[in-house]
Amino acid sequence: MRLKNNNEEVIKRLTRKILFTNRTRNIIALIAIILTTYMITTVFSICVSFVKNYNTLWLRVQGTTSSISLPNPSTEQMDLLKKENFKSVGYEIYAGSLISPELTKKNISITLIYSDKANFYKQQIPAYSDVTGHYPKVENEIMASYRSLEKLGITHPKLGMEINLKYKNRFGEFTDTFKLTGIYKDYTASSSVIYVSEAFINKSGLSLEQDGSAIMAVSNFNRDAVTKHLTTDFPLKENQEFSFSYDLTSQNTSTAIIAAVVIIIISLFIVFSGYLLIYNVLYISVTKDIHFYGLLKTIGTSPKQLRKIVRGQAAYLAKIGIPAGILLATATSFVIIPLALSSLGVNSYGNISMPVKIYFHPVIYIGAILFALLAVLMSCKKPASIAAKISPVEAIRFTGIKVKSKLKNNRNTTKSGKLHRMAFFNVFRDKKRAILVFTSLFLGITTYLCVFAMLDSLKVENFIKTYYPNDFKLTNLPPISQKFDNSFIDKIRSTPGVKNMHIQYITGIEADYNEEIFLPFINLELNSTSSNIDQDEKIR
Amino acid sequence: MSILETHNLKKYYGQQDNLVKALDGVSIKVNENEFIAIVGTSGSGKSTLLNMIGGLDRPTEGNVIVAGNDIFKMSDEELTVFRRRNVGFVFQNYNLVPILNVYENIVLPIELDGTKPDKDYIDSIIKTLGLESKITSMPSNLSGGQQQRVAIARALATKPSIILADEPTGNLDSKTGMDVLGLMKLTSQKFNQTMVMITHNEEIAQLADRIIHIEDGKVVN
Repeated sequence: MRLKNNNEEVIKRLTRKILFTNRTRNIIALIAIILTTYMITTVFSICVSFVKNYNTLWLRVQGTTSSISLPNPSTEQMDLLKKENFKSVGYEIYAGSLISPELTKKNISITLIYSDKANFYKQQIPAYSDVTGHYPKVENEIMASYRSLEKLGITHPKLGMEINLKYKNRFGEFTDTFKLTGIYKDYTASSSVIYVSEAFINKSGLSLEQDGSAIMAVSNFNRDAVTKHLTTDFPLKENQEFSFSYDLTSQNTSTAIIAAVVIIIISLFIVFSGYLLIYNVLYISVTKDIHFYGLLKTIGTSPKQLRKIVRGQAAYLAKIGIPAGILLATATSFVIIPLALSSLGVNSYGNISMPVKIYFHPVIYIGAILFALLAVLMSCKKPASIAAKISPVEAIRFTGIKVKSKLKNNRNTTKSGKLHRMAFFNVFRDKKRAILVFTSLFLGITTYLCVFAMLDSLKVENFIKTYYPNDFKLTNLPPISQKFDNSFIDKIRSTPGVKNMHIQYITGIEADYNEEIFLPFINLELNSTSSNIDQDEKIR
Repeated sequence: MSILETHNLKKYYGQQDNLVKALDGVSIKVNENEFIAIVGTSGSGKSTLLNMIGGLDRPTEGNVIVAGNDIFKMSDEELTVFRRRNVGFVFQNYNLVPILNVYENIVLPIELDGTKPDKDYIDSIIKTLGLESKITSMPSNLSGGQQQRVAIARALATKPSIILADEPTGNLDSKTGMDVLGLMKLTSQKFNQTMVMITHNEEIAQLADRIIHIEDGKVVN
């Protein structure tokens, strides 16, 4: 029966006093805690930045956040759509396409588009960068990307400059002078657009229902439910159909999830290593002070109180070490994160490189504090119970040497007096400590080697070696008749510098269509590639 | 009325060839307010017996009843609390906490219990033991005799019912030793405490009400 009382004061005092008499131990423990926190914070920061940058990359590749469109919607349909469970609902109105001999020669098309606020700001802008100026307001204002302007021959665009454009829509061909009020950078490989104002649409006599499409973005969580709902319940006009383009986005989330899982595993690894490190420090410190704890117990300090004293010391050190580790990690993240992101190898898709922006998200700090605290708390459990369970008599009489160790059988040698032999045997005297130290070293070195090996192997050279083992490829394309004869091949082979040569033979065959054999392959092919072909087309 | 009893107390260390019988079946009874001296040669088991009585060490066999409580049936936690409230221990090597000053050392058991020290009582002990001028000194700055007096003050501070003293004057010169002993007898009589003291000094033993002889872990008469 213990009274709830104010013996906390004396415990706190004892804790503080012991703490401050142990300077070396404190410094080492602090370094351990700071290091662990630092590593966890850095790993979390890299993870968060990676995921966010990766998302941005995919968004830019997509060109838009939207994935569903409905052509020629009526006003009633637009109202209905706004009530649905979409992330955003906007619309586009096709205003015409540019005519120009250069464009035609290069096989490029540029479309004039009007975007409403929802479509432009919620669905398009996230995929652009370096936006200057504003969306066209007045009839003759336009907004274009650097790429579109380059295609028109304008390499140094300036806001306010006047551009002459010839275009055609369903009403005919027109030429107008436009003022450039906005420029942005886009990343999609597909054809470019130039944005026009609402006034322009009205003047041209175009409308949403005749010339436009409703554009929707849906979140991944309810995507399937929404799709099902739209295809079955939504009232559509004759020949009107929803068009879905999901493939790219689903790939994006699964990659992000894999990245997150990998990072969490690495974090747990670091937590474990940190735990071992801090545990080691505390264990050694408690055994050094065991005389003191035993003395306290003799005087009447209960096991619970002794535990509090040990934990109190660890908590005090953690209070300093964890914030210090986080600050240090934040400071160095400006250098480390870009380095880590670029060396992770997944930094480009086609010509688009992943942005390297550093993100600070509360998750990083909350996660780091939690994991670091976890490591510290776990690692003081055992040392605390050692202090608590100490037999006072043992502690007073002896100084930390375990009495319980069974006396070893005689060692049949008289040579162990030598220093190096004594040192060797001393390592294994306390078996638990020996195992602990070896495990720590092993884990530390293994992690180090693994991480470096992994990072080192994510080189372009390795990628090329695996996927592009050849430096050159000479192909004889049909319908040109075969030019590669034996003398030609020998000439190539004997060219100085040619190390290896493989010859690949190709021919074509015509087989009768057999649905049983071929249809599965066709389906596989169609389902795996990203395509905007809807189901009926595929089957057809 | 016996305030302290041991029944067939045994403490064995090691096994077979290495078996050491520190205590080999010790049964004693101590009455309230008695002053007992435990006498014996070195290695006879005196300290082991005292440690058992004070609950500092667990026996291999047998039990110890203090004020009606079988102390080794308690958990570690309960035993520690019981000990700090009911037993005052004076060690041969003082065992003061080096990082606390004299006053903090004296009141430490009380504070661990969470109760407020009886200021007047503590002051009277300090005065009786002649420690007024040293209350804020650190143990390392005191002489052996002074340290021992602090240890005694600490043992007395919680007003325990039993005081166990292990050669309290072993490290003191004869004059200081006699002074300390006189003090202890005085306070124990004043506060109605039971005192069990180990000594191998026959003179001191003569001061006790009863002498218990221990030899080879057993009580001899």
